[in-house]
Amino acid sequence: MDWDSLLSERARRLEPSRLSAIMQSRRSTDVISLAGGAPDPELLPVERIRAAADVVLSERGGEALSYGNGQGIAELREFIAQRMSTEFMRVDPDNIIITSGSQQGIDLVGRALLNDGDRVLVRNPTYMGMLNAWRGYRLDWQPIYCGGETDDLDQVMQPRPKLMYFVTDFENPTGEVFPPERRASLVKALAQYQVPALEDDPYGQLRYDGEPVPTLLEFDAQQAGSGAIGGHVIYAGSFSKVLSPGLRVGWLVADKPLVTRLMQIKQGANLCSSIFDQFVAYEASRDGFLDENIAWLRTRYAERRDAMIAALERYFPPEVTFTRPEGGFFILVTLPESMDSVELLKRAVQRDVVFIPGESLHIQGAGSNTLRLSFSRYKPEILEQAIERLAEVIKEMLAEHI
Amino acid sequence: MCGKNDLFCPWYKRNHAAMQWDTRFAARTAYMKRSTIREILKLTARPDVISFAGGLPAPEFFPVERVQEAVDLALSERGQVALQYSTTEGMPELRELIAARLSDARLTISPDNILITTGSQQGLDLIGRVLVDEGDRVVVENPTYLGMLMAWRPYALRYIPAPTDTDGLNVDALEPLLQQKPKLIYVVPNYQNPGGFTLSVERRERLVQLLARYEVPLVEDNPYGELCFSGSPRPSILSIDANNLGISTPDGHVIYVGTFSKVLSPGLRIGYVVATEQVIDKLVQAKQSADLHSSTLDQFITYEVARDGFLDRHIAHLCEVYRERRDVMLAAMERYFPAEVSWSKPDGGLFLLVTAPAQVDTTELLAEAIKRGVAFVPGADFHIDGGGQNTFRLNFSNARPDLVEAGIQRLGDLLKEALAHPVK
Repeated sequence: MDWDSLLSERARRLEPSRLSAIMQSRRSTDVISLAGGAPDPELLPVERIRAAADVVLSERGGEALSYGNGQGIAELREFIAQRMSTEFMRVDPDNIIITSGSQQGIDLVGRALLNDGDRVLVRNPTYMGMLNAWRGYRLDWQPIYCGGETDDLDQVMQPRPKLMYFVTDFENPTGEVFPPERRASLVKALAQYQVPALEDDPYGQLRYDGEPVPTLLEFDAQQAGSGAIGGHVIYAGSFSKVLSPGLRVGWLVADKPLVTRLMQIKQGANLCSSIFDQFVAYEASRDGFLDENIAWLRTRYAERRDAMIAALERYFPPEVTFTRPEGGFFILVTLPESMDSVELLKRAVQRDVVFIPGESLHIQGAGSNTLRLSFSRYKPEILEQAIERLAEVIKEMLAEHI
Repeated sequence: MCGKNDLFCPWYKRNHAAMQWDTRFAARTAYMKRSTIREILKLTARPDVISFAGGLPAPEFFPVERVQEAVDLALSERGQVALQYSTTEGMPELRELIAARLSDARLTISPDNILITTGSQQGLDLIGRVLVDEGDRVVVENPTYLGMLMAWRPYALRYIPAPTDTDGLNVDALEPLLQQKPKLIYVVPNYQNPGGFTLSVERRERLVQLLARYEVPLVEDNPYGELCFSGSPRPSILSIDANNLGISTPDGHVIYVGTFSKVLSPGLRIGYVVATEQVIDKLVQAKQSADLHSSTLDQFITYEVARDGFLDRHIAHLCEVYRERRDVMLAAMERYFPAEVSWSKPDGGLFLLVTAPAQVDTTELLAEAIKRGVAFVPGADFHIDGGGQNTFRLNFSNARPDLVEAGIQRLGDLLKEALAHPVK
């Protein structure tokens, strides 16, 4: 069978992702992977989840193992709605769709809104999983907010983009936070130009220092002034970083007309997300456990961020710069212009350290001298060891080039 | 005057116009519509309605205790793995188990031929993404499975209906349809949803010859094959196709879609696709973007429950109780349905299809049926040739025997009235 000739046009545009290759390479026990955005397995609340699963199965096993509402179980949507609601914004459970991880949220939003060739505004660099999910649409990517706050919103809205995508808190890969002024002006422009934005927020609750900034979703709600969500921002949340990624439970918050469309698409995609996992996520999170767990994760991850920053300062040559995130999992490193991070990766693998080279995080072929490091997966002493090894490779390369 | 960033500026508030979504949706969403099934399920949530509408396995037979043991084992021995991200292809042990279950004397399936999906619905979605472009022709049985129509709706496909009878897809009528050069053929060969018919082995053998002659791929969707009430399951089209090509690997024309939803639990959302590695590779890439991977915990549970022969014993039990429910339903239909009405008599699966005389419109009948406390799925939506208005689908697996008789009696009365007093 000549399958090549049978592939759909979109399938031809798919490429094997580095993400998968990296996940595979994680099987080796010697390699220290600073590549993935996975939590340290030792930080997973295994006992709590086990107890939750026991309660779910003994109290409502039949229901938890059945098909369920495509929008998600009511208990979990109410739980999320309550957590997200603030003084200025009331999130209605009907605005929420449970997704199979926030990756599915990104996919569904793309399928609901994007036509081939649409103009989409993103930061550059941006999240690799979104670039992969939307690659099939051959989008006209337009970078924004890449030179500080100089962007003229009236100008970037011409011609009118179809969609914007941002990780507003502890951005993947830079670790940066969108300042409040940017959020305020952005939501005004969204309404004025009738352009929706997807706010992808898997890390927002993992803040290690500094003051929290309201989400774009909340800024939009404040602008709309009705107390409900404003409708211009689509919000993607996830339990992956604060509870367990293996459960694949994420959610979208969206304007109701869009929720209706997204549900139709989700039905065709997988009918509903695992009902059992939704019950387990709810049962494990309730009664304050999720907040306790987040508080505990914050101290653990803060130590790791501090250890990695300290190691970067100690071992990396001064020509190399890096971001200093107040939360999340990632640091973006910038090498001297002439250095290529793919070449660095090839050498680093030999020393048992891997990371994500910047070219796969950038649009328009930029960023070949950047790389993303994750500090979430290992204890401080291992992170220090990895950075020391990486620094040696960088110094070798610098010496060769000079 | 308001400051540039004054969130409470009244001028901005007045101008913070609501989003006009109609102009922002992607073109492909224009082909979507609300699912009839969903609307119906909402209506039948009332406790006084005896519903034959769902496609559901019976929750009272879920092996809850075994699942509980599986969760305890998975989380106590490998909790840090079971709750972590995992590979897109799926848990290796589960893929091995599925490969071994589907391999037989003629066909050897490797774990590399298998992708774990978030229910078999995702298998259909991924196959659609990877194999069909807008406007492609696809041959399907008439009637066909609604979930497939739902998954592939964004592509505005041109469906070619193939006629069916009690032996399933009429293979003799297929050849002229293949001359229209369809992109693929979609078949539910066992205890078809909604028809309840099964493709005979003799027809399967002639079907794979056509696949080879016309070089056309076939999607074999087999959620019900293991729910076989008498005799042994028929060999898969996947296996017969390989045999026809003289190979012992799944490298022919068939992409096979399977699931644990009907034999274990639909709430765990674990299905799988079996295909040649080249196709699996593309499906993996599509799945990476769709949801990275299926629930690690659910895969661990499925594996733990399925191993050691438990699943086979459980399936044998399900077959016994579902057969009994089918028998109760068929006996009640014989007793209460008018003579002008006929129906399929499946020897497995979950569904049967009822055909009333042409003047009966079952969509109209449904509203009255629900008033009287009984529900079914009208057949029109399953028929892509515009026919089937006089048919409806009944589910027997999820109907408690003590309620089936009352439900069928209500339906029988309704059918008799509809025949005596035709609408219009």
